[in-house]
Amino acid sequence: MKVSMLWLKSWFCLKTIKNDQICNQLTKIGLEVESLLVEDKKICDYILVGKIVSISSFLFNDNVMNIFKIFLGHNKIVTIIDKNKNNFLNLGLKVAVAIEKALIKNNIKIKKKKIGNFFSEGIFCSYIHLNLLGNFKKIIIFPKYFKSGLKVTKIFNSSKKNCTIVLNITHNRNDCLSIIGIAREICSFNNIFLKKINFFSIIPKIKNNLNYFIESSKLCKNYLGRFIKNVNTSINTPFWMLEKLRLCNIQSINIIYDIINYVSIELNQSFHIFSLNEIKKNILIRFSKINEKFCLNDKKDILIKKKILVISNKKKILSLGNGFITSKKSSINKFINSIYIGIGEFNKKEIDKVNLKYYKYNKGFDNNSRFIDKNLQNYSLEYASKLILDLCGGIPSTIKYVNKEKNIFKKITVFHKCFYKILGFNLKISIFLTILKKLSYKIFCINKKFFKVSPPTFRYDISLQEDVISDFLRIYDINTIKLIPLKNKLIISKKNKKFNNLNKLKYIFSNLGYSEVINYSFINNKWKNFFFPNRKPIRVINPISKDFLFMRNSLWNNLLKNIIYNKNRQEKTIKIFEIGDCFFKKNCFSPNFHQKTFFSGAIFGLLKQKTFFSKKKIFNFYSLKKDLEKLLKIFLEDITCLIWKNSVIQGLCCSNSAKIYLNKTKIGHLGMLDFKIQNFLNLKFPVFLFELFLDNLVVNKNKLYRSHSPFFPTIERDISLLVSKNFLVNKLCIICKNFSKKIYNVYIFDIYQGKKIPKNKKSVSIKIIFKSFKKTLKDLEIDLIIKNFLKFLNKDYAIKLRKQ
Amino acid sequence: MILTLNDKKKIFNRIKNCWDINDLDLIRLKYLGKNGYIVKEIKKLKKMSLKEKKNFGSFINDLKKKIIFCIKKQKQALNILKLKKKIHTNYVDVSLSTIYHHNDKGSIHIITKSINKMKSFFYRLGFSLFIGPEIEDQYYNFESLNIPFNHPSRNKNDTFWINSSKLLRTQTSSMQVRIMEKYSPPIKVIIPGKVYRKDSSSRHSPMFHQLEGFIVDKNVSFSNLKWIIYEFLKDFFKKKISIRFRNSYFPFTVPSFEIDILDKNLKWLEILGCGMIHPKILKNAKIDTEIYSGFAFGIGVERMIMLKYNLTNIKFFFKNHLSFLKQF
Repeated sequence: MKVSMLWLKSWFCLKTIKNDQICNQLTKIGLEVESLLVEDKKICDYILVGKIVSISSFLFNDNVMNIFKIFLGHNKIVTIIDKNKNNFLNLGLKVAVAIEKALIKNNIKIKKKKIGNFFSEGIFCSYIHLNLLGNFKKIIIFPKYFKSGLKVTKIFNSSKKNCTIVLNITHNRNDCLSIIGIAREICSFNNIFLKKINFFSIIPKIKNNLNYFIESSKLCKNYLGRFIKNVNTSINTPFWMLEKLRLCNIQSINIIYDIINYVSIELNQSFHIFSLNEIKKNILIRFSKINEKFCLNDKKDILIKKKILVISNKKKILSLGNGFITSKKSSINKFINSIYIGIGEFNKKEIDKVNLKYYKYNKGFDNNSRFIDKNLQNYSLEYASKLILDLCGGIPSTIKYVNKEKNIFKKITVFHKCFYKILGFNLKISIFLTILKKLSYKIFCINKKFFKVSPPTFRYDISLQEDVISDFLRIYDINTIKLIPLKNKLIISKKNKKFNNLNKLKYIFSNLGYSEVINYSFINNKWKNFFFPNRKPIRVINPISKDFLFMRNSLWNNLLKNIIYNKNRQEKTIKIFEIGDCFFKKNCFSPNFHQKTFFSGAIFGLLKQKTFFSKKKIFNFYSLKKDLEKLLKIFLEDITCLIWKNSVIQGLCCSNSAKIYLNKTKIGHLGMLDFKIQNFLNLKFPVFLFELFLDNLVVNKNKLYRSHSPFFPTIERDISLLVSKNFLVNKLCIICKNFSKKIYNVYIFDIYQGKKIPKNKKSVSIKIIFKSFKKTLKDLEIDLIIKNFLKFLNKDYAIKLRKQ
Repeated sequence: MILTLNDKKKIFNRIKNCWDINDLDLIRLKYLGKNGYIVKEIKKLKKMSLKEKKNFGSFINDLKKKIIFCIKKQKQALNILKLKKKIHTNYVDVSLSTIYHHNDKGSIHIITKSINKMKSFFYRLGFSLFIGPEIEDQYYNFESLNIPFNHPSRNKNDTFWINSSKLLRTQTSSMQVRIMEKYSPPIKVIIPGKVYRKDSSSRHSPMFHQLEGFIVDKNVSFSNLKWIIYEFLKDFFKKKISIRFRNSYFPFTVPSFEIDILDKNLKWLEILGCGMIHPKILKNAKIDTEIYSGFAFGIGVERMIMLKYNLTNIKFFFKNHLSFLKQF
C-alpha cells in the first residue's frame, strides 16, 4: 500500500512532526513502513510542455512511424517520431516533451536522430523518464490551461517535498487501506483529533426508480445506490487529482474511475459503478449459478464457478465480487453519459473468495478488499457524487437504501484477570481505559472484576477480549514492559533420538573431510529420471520455475549439481554430503506420499594432489567405501553384520555398484556414476555416490561388552592362495574367520593377477592372526590349523596354495 | 716375551686412532680373538715356573682388561660419532607444509551449526525437540492455526501445493496442534525445520529454515516471552544488540509481535515473529484456556545468520560453494 504523505498530513494538524517520526510511529503501531520514497526534483530545463499540432505517419522498415509536430511556444515547433501507436495522443493534447540536450533517467542525453527522411528532435516523457514517483510508463499529460513551452520543472517543483510511504498492512487492518484509516492511527497515537468531516448532501433532481434484489442479508447489508444522468465523461481528470493519485501509486483511467478511486482511497470505501443503460432497471446481488458466463473487458468470456458473489441485471452478470471486476459493456467509457454508483457492506468471506480466484482480471480499481465504514458510507457516496457533478455535470437521483440494518454495538467483556494472564503483571485500569478511549472505543459498565467495551464501527477484526488487549498494547509502549524470567518447573528436556542421530552422523562425516551441503528440495524435469525409477517424483502444482517442478526423490541429483558448480569454480577435490528428506510415490496413481530421511554423499576429483610427499591420485570405489565403513563402525559400533552385495542400480555403473544390507534389511546404495550420465554432465573424473536410509539404520543397543581378559601374544601367518577370478574375496575372510576359534583376525594384503598366475585365477594373499584368550599358542598348533584349513579349502572350494 | 712399555703404548695408540668400527673389530680379533695375541701369551703360561706364572699371569690379565676397556671406550666414542652423523644427514625442513589446500578439512553447514547452537540454549531451559513432516496436511498448516479457507495468506502466490489437500508447509507452527493433541500441558517444545514459500529475492528464498518454539503452561505471559527472546538473542549474537518489539498480526497469536534488530547500516531488520497463542488454537487442541495460556515464536534461521556474519544474499546458503561452506 502506497500513500502520499502530503495527503495524509492534510487530515490532521501536527505541524512540528517530521516525516521520519510519522514512519516510526506507524511501524510501532503495527502498520509496518517498508520505506519512505522521496521524490527527486531535479528535472532538466530542456523538458517542456508541448502541444500536439499535427499527426501524420510514414512507413519505415515495414513499421508504421508516427510524426508528431509539437508546438513549444514562441513559434517554436519540433518534430517527434514515435514508433508506438499512442492512441490517446490526440491533436491539441499537452504533453511533456524532452528536446535536444535534455537529461533523463540514468543520465541519458537526448540527441537528434534521423529516421527515414525525417529528423526526430526529442521524445515524449513518462513519469519513469523523469524519476517521478508512481513509476508509470504512461506519457505525462497536462491540463489544457498550461502554457506551451512551460518548463516541466516549474510544475512539479512546488515548495513542499512529495513523499510516498510504502506500508505493509496486515490482513486484519482493512480500515488502514486508506488515508483516513492511517491518519486516525497517527491521531490516536499522538493524542490529537482528526480533521472534522463536514457532512452534507446534494439535492437530488430525479427519483431512483431501480428495483433491487439481494439474495440473502448475509451477502450484503446496508446497500446504497444512486444514478447520475447526463454526465460528460469525456473530459480530462484535473491535474491536482492526478497528482494526488500518482503519489498513491494509482494510475489514471478516466475521470469517473479516477474520482471513485480518489474517494475510495481517502475514505476507505469500495464503490461499484456501472453504465446505467446496462442495468436495465434491475440490480441483483446474488450467488452465481452453474455454467454462467461473464464477458470481460478484453473480449474474453470466462466461466464462473458456482456460488460466487456477483452483481447482475436480470440477464447478465455486471460484475464479480463487490464490483471491482466489471464486464465490458457495463464499464464506463467516454461515450457513456449516465452512470450508476452503488456501495454496500458485502460479506468479507465472499469477497476474499472472489479475490483469491479472479483477482488477476482486476484492472481498474486499486485495492478492493477494503471494508467499508458504516458511518462514512452515506457521506462518501455524496462526496463522490458531488465531485462528479462539479467536474462533469449531470442530474443526480435520490439515494435508495436497501437492507438497512440498525446500528448494533458489539459488546466485549474484558476481565481484569485476563490482563494479568497475558501481560504477567498488574496494570492500573485507568491507563488501560484512557488508551482505549483514544482508540475510540466505547466503555460501559466498569466493575471490580470486569468491564465492557464496544469497538469503533470500522474495526471488524476485534471480537475477543484478547483482541482488545492486543489493540491496547499497540499504543502502550511495549518496549517498557519488564522482563520476567520463566519459572522453570524442572522439566527435563526430552532429546529427540532422530535429530541426535542426524547430528552425530554429520559430525562424524565432517571429521572425515566431507562438507555438509543443503540444497533446495526440488529437482527439474530433465534430471528426475536419472536414478530410482521406482520412486515416482511428486509434482508441485504451482512451481516457482522449471527447476522447481518436482520434489526430489533422491539427494543425488542435487549433489551432482553441487559438484558441477564447484568443479566450474576450480575446486579439485570435492567431498560433500547432505542429510534431508526425500519425497516420492510408489506408483503414479497412489495418493500416498512417502517422506523419508536420506543420508547421501558424493566424491569427485583428486584424492591426493601431487606434493613433495605424495603422488597424484584420483578417487576410486574404495576411497568412498573406506569412509563409509569408518562411519558405520563409529555409528553402529559393530559392522560384522554388514553385507555389501554387487547389484545393478539405475544410474550407477553396474561393475562398481553395491547394495548395503544390515541384518537382511537394505540400508543403502553405493557406487560409481554411470559413464553415460558422466559424459552428459561433462565431468572428467568419475563420481562416486552413496545413500543410506536413516530410518533403517538402527543402533543396536543391546551389545554385550566382553569382560577384560588377560593378555596373550598374537601370532601372524601369511599365506597366498589361488582363487578363481569371480570368487568374492571377502567370503574367503569370512570362511577363514569361522574356521577356528583361535583365528582372531584375517585381512587381505594383496590381490594379484598376471604373470605366473593362470588366466582364470587370481592370487590372494591373506594375513591370519591367531590369538587365544586362555594361553600362549605354540607353533605346532598353528601349523596344524593352517594345514587343516588348506585341506578344507581344497576340498570344499577348490582353492589351492600358490606355489612360487 | 715380555712386552715393553713402548709396545703397550703402541697397542693403545692403535686402538685410539682407529676411527672405523670394522677396523676396530679387526684389532679386537688380533689381540683378543681365539688366535689372538693374548690367547697365545696365555698358552705360554703352561711352560713357565710358578713364580714366573704369577708375575706374567697378572700382567697378561691386566693387559687384557685394559685392552677390553680401551676398545669398549673407543667403540662408544665411535657410536656417538655415528649417531651425530646420522642426525646431521636426517635433517628435516620443518617449515614445509603438508596442507596444500583448504580442501583437506570437512565442514558442517552453518545452518546446522546455528540450529544446534539455538537448540542447546533451549535445552538449558527445559525445552524438548520435535521434527515434523515437510509435506503437510492443509488442516495443520492452515485451519488448525486459525487461517480459514478464504484467508488471503492461503493465496497460491505464497504456498506450494502438492494436491488439493497437501502442501509444503509454510511455517513450522504446523506442528503446534499436532503436539498439543498428543501431549498435555505443560508443554515446552522447539521445532526446527525447512519451510517453503513461493518467494524469491535476495532476502527471500523458496526454501528456508525456521525454528519454532512454544510453551503452554499455567502463568506464562508476555513478560516471560520477552525475557526468553532477550536472553536467546543475547546468547546467539554474543554481543550487545538493540532490539525493538513491534506490533504485528498473525492469525495464530494474539497479541502478536515482530522483533527487529538494528544492523550495521542502522536499519531495522525483522528477524522473528512471536505472540501469545490464540485461544482458538488452544481450543482446537482441547486445552482449557481458563487455566492454561501459552506463547509461541518463530525464528528465521537464515536471517539470524545473515545478521551475525553480515551476509547480503540468502542464496549463498544453497549454492554450496565449498569455499563458502568451509569458512564457518
